[in-house]
Amino acid sequence: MNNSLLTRLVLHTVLYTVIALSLYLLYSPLNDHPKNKAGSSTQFVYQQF
Amino acid sequence: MLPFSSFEFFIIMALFVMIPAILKNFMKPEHYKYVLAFLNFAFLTIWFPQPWHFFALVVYSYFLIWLLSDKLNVQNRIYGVLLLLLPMLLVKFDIRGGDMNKWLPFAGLSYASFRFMGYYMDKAPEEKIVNVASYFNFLSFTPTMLIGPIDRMNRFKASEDNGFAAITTDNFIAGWNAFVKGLAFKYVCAELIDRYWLNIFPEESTELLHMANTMYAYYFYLFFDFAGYSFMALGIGKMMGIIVPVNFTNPFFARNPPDFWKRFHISLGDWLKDYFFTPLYLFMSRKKSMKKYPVTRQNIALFLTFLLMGCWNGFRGNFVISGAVLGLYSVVYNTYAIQCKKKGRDVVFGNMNPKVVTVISIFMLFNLIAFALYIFSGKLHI
Repeated sequence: MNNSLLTRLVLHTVLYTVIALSLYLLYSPLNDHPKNKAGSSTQFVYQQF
Repeated sequence: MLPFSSFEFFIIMALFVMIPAILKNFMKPEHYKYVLAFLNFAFLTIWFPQPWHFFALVVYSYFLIWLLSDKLNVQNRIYGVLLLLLPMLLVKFDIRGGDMNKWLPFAGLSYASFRFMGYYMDKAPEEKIVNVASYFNFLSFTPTMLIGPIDRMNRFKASEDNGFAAITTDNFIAGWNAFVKGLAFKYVCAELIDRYWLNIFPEESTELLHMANTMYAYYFYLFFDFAGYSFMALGIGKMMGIIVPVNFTNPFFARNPPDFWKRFHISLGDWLKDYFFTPLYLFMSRKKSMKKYPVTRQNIALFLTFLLMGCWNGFRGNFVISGAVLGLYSVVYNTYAIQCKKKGRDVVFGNMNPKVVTVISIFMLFNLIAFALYIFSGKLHI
């Protein structure tokens, strides 16, 4: 695996982890923000757009 | 269920990606459109609210285009345009009553109207109307039916004809990346702005600092929200073998109004240019009284185009005024650009370093657009 591919792999892994963590933190039932009406981390998109 | 409004929608989209990828191995390339029609039909009938309203619109517009273009060969297209846009105009002008309220409005009406009107205008008189399955797919392609981008028939048809062949690993990866980008834009960035930035000061506040905060927060919110939808639609489309046009490319770095509309809701800007601005400009060019004033012609057409864009969102003060303000920006820039060309020099910045001019232009336009969208948001209380 050359360097640029390795860099992309690492960057993508970091980016995807950040997105997944953000989604979990934003929509988890642990987040008691009044706009978090989801109630479950797997139901994050239930909020009306 | 409306597209992108629930978690189940994404499960359905996963099936929409998987089914054509599996059927690709058993079916002929020309059968792709029927697979797509089946999927779109299934989504509409099982999950979509008021599906029969949407089907009625598809039948109404298809029949009208066939009758006016193929059967009667009507040369003056204005009657066809008015008849095609009739359902949308009834809603926009709020001319409804009695039983009509049961039928209008319904989800997807505006974007479908934009699409079939574009097809009617582009269709050559000698050209036969497209296959009904392709027409249905064009209007009801699930990822784009509600939030755009506004596709064109020629482009969509070419993509559909190549559907099975476009289901490749490369397209899947590119589509997945666009989808994740959209997911991050809409469900992380826009949501963070909405929860923790946009509403930190009362909306009714008339303090300059509070208003400036809401103005900038709304601009970023609107971009991430709308661009998020567009990237998700683009990504799902690509994974299914349909290439959806890009609708947003870094609008914050636009240097002037024309440049901005090549970066922000590109498909709407192109649609308005092709089907309103250009015909209006050509119409005025034929008028004797306007022949001597090409700049005035351009400016009137530009202003009316943006005013129409504002009105399309609804006949409310904030929409109409924001359209007029955006129109004014374009008129001022157009006059400035023509003056620069005429005099062979920059009439405002003179001999200033081009890099400095670019930075100033980006900064100015960013603030001007943020202000226009602040009016659009209806959050500006004076």
